[in-house]
Amino acid sequence: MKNTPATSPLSSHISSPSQFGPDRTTFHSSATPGHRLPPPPPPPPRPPASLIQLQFAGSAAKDPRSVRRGDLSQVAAMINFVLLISRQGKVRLTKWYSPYTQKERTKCHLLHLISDDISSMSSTIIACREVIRELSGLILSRGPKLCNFVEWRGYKVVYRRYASLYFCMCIDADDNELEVLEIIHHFVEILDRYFGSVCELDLIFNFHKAYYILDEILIAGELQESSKKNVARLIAAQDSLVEAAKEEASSISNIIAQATK
Amino acid sequence: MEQLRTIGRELAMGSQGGWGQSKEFLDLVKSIGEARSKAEEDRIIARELEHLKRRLADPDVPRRKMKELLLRLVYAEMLGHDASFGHIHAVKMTHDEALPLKRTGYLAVALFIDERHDLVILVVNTIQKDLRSDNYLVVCAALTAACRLIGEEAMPAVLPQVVELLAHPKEAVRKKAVMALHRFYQRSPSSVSHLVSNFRKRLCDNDPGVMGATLCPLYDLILEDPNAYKDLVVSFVNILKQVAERRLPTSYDYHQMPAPFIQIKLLKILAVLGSGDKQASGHMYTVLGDIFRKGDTASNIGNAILYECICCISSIFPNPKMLEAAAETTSKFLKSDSHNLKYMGIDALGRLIKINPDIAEEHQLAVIDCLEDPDDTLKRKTFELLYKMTKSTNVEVIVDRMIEYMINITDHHYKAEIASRCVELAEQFAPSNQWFIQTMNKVFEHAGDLVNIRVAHNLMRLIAEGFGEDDEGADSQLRSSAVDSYLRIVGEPKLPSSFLQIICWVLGEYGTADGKYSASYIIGKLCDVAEAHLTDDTVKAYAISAILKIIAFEIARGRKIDLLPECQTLVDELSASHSTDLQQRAYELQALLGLDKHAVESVMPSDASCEDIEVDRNLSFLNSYVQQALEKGAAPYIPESERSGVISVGNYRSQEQHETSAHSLRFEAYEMPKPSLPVVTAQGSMSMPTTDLVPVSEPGYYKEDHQVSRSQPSGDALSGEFGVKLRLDGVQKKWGKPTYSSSSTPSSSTSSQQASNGGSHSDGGGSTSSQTRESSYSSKRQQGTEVSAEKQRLAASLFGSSAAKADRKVHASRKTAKDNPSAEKVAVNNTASQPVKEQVIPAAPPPDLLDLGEPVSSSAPSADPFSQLEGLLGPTSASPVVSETPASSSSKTPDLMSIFSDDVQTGPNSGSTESTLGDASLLNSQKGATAGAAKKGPSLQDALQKDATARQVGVTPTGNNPNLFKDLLG
Repeated sequence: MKNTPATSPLSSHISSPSQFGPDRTTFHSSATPGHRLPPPPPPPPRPPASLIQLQFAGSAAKDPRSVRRGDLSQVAAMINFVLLISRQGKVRLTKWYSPYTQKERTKCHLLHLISDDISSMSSTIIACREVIRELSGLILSRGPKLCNFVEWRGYKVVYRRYASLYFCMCIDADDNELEVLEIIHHFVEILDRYFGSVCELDLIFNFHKAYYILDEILIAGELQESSKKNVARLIAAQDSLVEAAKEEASSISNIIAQATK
Repeated sequence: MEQLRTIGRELAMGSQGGWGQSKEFLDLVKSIGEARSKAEEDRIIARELEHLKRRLADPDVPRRKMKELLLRLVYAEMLGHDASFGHIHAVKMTHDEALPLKRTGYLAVALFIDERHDLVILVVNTIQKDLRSDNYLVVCAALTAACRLIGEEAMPAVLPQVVELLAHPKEAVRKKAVMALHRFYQRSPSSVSHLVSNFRKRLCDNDPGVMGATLCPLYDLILEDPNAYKDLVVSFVNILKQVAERRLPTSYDYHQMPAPFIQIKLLKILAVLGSGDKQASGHMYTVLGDIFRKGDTASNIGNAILYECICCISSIFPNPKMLEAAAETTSKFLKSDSHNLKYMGIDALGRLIKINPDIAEEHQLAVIDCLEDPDDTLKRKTFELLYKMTKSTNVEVIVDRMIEYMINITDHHYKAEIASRCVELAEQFAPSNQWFIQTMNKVFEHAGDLVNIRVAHNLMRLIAEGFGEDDEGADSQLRSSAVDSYLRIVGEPKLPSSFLQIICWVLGEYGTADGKYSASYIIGKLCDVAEAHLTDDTVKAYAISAILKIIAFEIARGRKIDLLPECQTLVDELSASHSTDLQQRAYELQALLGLDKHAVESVMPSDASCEDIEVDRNLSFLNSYVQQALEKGAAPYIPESERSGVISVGNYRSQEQHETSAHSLRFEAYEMPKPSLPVVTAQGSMSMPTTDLVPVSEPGYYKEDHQVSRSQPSGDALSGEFGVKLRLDGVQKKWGKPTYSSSSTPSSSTSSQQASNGGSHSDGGGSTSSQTRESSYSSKRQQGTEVSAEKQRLAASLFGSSAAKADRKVHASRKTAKDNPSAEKVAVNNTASQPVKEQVIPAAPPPDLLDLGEPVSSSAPSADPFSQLEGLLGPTSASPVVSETPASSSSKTPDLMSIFSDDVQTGPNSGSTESTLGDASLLNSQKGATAGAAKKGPSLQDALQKDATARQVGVTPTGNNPNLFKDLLG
């Protein structure tokens, strides 16, 4: 297996919608020479995923035979979190949407699965780390021809590989997996349009911009905008303001500089 | 070109420090990328955090530099490190006037904290101010942050502004305002409930983006109360139609599909609105048909829409044409090479078989393929499908498969789930007692600590009560086979605690019943169990109680019993135990040894575990005593509720307990103390567990009371009680309520103790034992010569009618597998259009086609179910087919016989139970239980008899698990 440089375009094959899943994400490394980052080392040996001793006896209470749609306790955010990890298991972006059902608020928090006490932030972070570690173990080990879905602790994780980067979204068990797969692709296409043939390095150095774009696509775990054009327009408007502010700042500093001379 | 771009990037990075970042950040990222291990990465980040801490504390940092520091902080936290020291700086940055900085501040705050964090209070004011800003980008940033940061308490502060923004001229703002309001609704429905009408208004927004966003809150609202939104059905259908006809701007197109995400959301909404509503569904058929016709199976997104269509069709009022289209698409999914599509196909199939079980028939081989696929996800999904289509005819194959899979996985979560499914299916559809117990043994052996303790109690009760038949012989045979199997298993290491409890209980109760094993042998085994599990008090308690019972039975039989030395040491050890419960049991045992035969017989009657305990709730046997006391001048009893000025201690205590168990602060005012129930009824309610499961702790005195009334039914109850009390004086509990041990129950330990002990034991997978079992198991399975032949046989056993068929020779099974669908199609085709139409009337759904191997039985539904029942009650008691012979034997009987039995089985099924319960049985497990109980054809007649006798006696089964009881009693 070749090492995949981070500069490879994530979506050099984005425009082939008929192709499916991991097939499309096969990486053409020959086209990208001279990457700046050295090829990342092989992933360090990680302990197996099932580290946490938890009691799951209660979790079996939910009766899967009942009608899935129309079940009121299922009202929750559609996407519980978004996770971008590299093939080496390095985190590139995480966004946690806290899903709440209307009745049991705290209990349904995803991270409660991992840790009972998420009131303090540091334990939240530990819980997040645990989730990431578990999932990267689960997803990175999967073969290329398998489903793009993984069942995980009563949730489902939909993932898709673009070059060396895995885009993962965690959804409730009864959501439309194919739709989420396409939401991921929608996100990647917008990233691609914004960065111009986006690659992993873009996302590493401009992770905040990726966050801004994600915020325009998903809000509170729901898809808020399905038009690429609209998202692009809004992001451009925000960027132009940043540019304007930059120029302003530089001109002010010029003025100050000149005045102090 | 690619090269040029990369070079350009590197140039840019070299000259001005990457994409607008400083050299420091670049170096950080680089060193992280070069890090060889997680530990090294952690070290780098720790150093970076130290650095950032120093820099952020510096008051003279320029604001733009501050922005970068903040981003580095975000980066560190993203990699899983605690950067909480910097959160306050992010909050500060949101106050900044300049939008880029403000935006960074909001981004960081939203990533760092959520609405439960203390710092949120400092942001609310800023959000409030920014929502009023002239610059719509500022408003957008504030709205995005509000979705994450505004909790229930802060909601009133921003709510009016958000509502105002719903009418903002910019569509982006309107859209975000809708989403924010939706989020508020999710957090606290009550504080937004008066504003939900706004969502309806926004549905008519000119901008499709706003309209699309509005569908999210509407979906939630409709899920909650579909009836309030029935008037919108036509509008939704119209919108969907327009979207499908490409009326929306092309910017919403995605891979040549017109606004697919909006279509999917609309389909989800329609599925809810049309569920069980014929009129509403009527509006949808045309547009759904259109979408199917236009469906693009080549692209992913096209399939996503088609899948959602299938979901919608399976949820709304069924329409034959629609179902046909859905089935066709499903078969395309299943035939696809893509695993994703197969997965969706399995899921869709699971939805469609609820309406028409016949659909599964033609896909049997595809399903088997998926079941044997190396892809775990697909496999699990297929198990879910099998679980949905389990019937009494295929339960053995399916549960065996499930257990086989369960043994091999390590994922606790899924293991627990699949174990509980196995249990559920076995309880519901078990063809025979032996099979049930064997299955349970397997489940307990491999996932004992993951399944509910309730299940263990059920199993014990089943062994105790038998199958609810009058045939004592079969019951005792069952018990001795259980004893046999447990004696085999008990020596194995690492058995789960709950399984050991069952073993101990059964050995104690029935170990010596058939005389095959000597008492000392069983006692020796039980001592081994107690010694091997030193830390598990519950198991020890079960073991010592079992020993006690065996000794009691021996004494009652008039045999001399000598305690084995190891047993004596065990008793000595336990009587000095820290656990008072164990101590008590040990003392009880010692006390019992000193009693004579008659006393032991009345204290520990043999095989009394299923005797019904009648509780005299009024404590009428005390009347004479009370009368005497009153005559002697004692004050009459006043119920607590009627007393005034006296603090009701019991009530107070219970409240206290409640609070400590809740472990949380209560903000609302204390409520007035409720008048407590009169003591009599309170105790009556305490006695409820006695009708419950067998081994749950029971208040000792009821037990005793019962024993007294049984031993001396006509005599003076009072004196009888004293008599027993005197004899068992030494056994009285030292602390707590003055109760006496209920000696015939295996466990008088409190249920809380049981729960804690049950959980504390690590799960013993018993890997070695599992492997041996498994290997023998798989070798049995591998007898099939060809893979495909085996698959077909499996398919036949899963989808075909009877287990007997699965046992036929390979060539025969292949023939049936091939013949079955076609033959049935002919049979079905006659009725095909009819059943689907008939589904309209819930009273008469089509006969259960999966169940019908033989076309003969399809004639059954026409007969009057009641006359059939009557017929069953009469002469059939002579028929060997009907009586509950173990199914294993029936599966070995010649084909002719099995056909006959099938006929009898399915006849009344489709006639009586299926017609009333229909497909609803699959939707609801509770209902499914009743259906399952009735579905067990052979026991129908017995069930009726049993029910009649039960009614005569006046016992109505209650308890935690109605399923099993219904199974047993009908």
